[in-house]
Amino acid sequence: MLLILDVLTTAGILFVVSIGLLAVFGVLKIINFAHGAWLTIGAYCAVIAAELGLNPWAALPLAFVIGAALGGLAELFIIRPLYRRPLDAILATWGLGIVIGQLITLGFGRDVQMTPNLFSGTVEILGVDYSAYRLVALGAALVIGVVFAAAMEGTRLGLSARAVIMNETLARGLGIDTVRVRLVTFMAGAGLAALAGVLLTPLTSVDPNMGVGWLIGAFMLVMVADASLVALAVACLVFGAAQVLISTFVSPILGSIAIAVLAALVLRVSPKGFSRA
Amino acid sequence: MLAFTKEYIGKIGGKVVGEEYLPMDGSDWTAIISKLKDSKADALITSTAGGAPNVTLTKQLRGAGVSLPYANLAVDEGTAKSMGADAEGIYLSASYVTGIDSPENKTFLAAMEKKFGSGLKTPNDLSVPQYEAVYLYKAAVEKAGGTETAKVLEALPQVSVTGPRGVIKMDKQHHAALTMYLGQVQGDGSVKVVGTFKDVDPGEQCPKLK
Repeated sequence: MLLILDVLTTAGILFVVSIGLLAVFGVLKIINFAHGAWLTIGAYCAVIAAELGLNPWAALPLAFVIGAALGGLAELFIIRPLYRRPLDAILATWGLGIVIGQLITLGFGRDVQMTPNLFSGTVEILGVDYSAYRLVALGAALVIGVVFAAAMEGTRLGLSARAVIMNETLARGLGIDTVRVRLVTFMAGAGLAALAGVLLTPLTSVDPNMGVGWLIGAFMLVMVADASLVALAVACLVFGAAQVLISTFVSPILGSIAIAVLAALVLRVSPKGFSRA
Repeated sequence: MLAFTKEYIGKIGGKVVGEEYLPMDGSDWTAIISKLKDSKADALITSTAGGAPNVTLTKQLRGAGVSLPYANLAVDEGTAKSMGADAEGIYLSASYVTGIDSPENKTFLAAMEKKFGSGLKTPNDLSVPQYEAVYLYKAAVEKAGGTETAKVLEALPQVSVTGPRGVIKMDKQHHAALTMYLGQVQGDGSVKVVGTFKDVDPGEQCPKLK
C-alpha cells in the first residue's frame, strides 16, 4: 500500500513539475532549459509571500502571476528572436537559467530559505500513515492536469494552440495570430513552472539551485510525451513507478537515474515516445 | 564516519537494521523514507553533503511523519535554524555550538553580534576553527619571529590560543585535542548542549611529527 501511494504521489509531483515544460515544447517547439529557474522563481515567491505575511496558499496565484509575467518578458526579448534557431534557443534558455539563478543569489543570498509548510502532518489512509502533503500534491497534479486539458479543449486559445501544434504554417494561413499564441503559451508554461515551484517547497530545500535537479527529469518526460498531455501523464506514472520500485527493491542510486535511462531507451525504440496512441 | 558509527552501534549492543544511500545531489527520498518506516527502526542517523540536502531530507522526513530520535552527522547550526520547526529535536555533534556555556564563548558571541548585527551568520563548527586558526598562526609567527615556514611550523605546537572553544593547542602531532559537544536543536532554532566530551584525543595523525 505504501508502495502504491509512493508511486502515485511521485508521478503526481513529476507531472506538476513537467507540465509547464510540455506546454512550451508543444507550441513553441523549443525546450525551455530555463524551466528549472522558473521552478526556483516560484519557490522564492513562496518566500516573498511568507515575508509579506500572506497565507502560504496565496503563494500559488502569486507565483503563477509573477512566473507568467517574467515568462512574457523572456519570450519577448530572448525567445522570440530565436524561433527559427531552436538549437540557439536551447543555449539561450540554458544561459537565462544561469542568469536567473545568479540574480536570485544576489537578491536573496546563497542560503537556504525557510518557507512555511503548506500542509503538514500525516493521514491514515488504507491502513498506512502517509504524508498528507504528498496526497495534496497528487490532488494538485490532478487539478492542474484537468484544468490544462479543459483549457486546451474548451477555449478559443486552446483551439488556436492545438492548431499551432499540428501545423503552424497552416494555422497562420488561416489567420491565427501564431505570435500571440506563442507568447501566451510561454507565459502559461512559465506560470505553471512557478506554480510547481511553490508546490515543491514542502519537499525540497529552497535555494538558488533547487530547480536544476528537477529539470533533467522533466525534460526526459516531455521528450517521451512529445507534446501530448495524456502521454505525459502516462510517462509520469510509468517512470515514477520505475523510480520508486527500483529505489525500493534494488537501490535508490539506480532509482535516481531510472527516468533518464528509461526515457533514453524508450526514445531509442520509438522516437515518438508514448504519444503515438 | 559511517563505518565507525556502525561498528560503535554493534559494540554497544545495537543493531543496524538498514543503510541507504542517494547520490550527493539526490533529492527524492520517497522510497528510502518508506523503507525506514517499514523497518521499525528505533533511531535514525544521517550524513548528507551538508547544507541544502539536509533541508530536503528533513522536510521529507517530517512530511512523512517520522519523529524518531534523529542524529545528523552533517548539519550545521545555521542550516538547522533555516529548517525551523522541522529541525526540533535533531541531535548534532560538533566541536563548536553557540550554546557552549563559557565566558569566552559569550564574549565572542557578543562581539560578533556587535560587529555584524542582524547580518550575522550563525558561527559554527566550520567557521569558528578558522577564526581561532588565524590567531594561533599569529601566535606562532610571533614566537618564530617571522613568517619563515619551517620556523613557524616548529613554533606552532608550542603556542596556544584562547578562543570561543577555550584553549586550543596543536600539541599532538600538530593536531589539537578538542572538546566535542552533543547538541540538540531546540524549538527556537538554538542548539542546547546535552553532552560534553572533554578534550577528545585526535589519535595517531602524523606519527613523524611530535
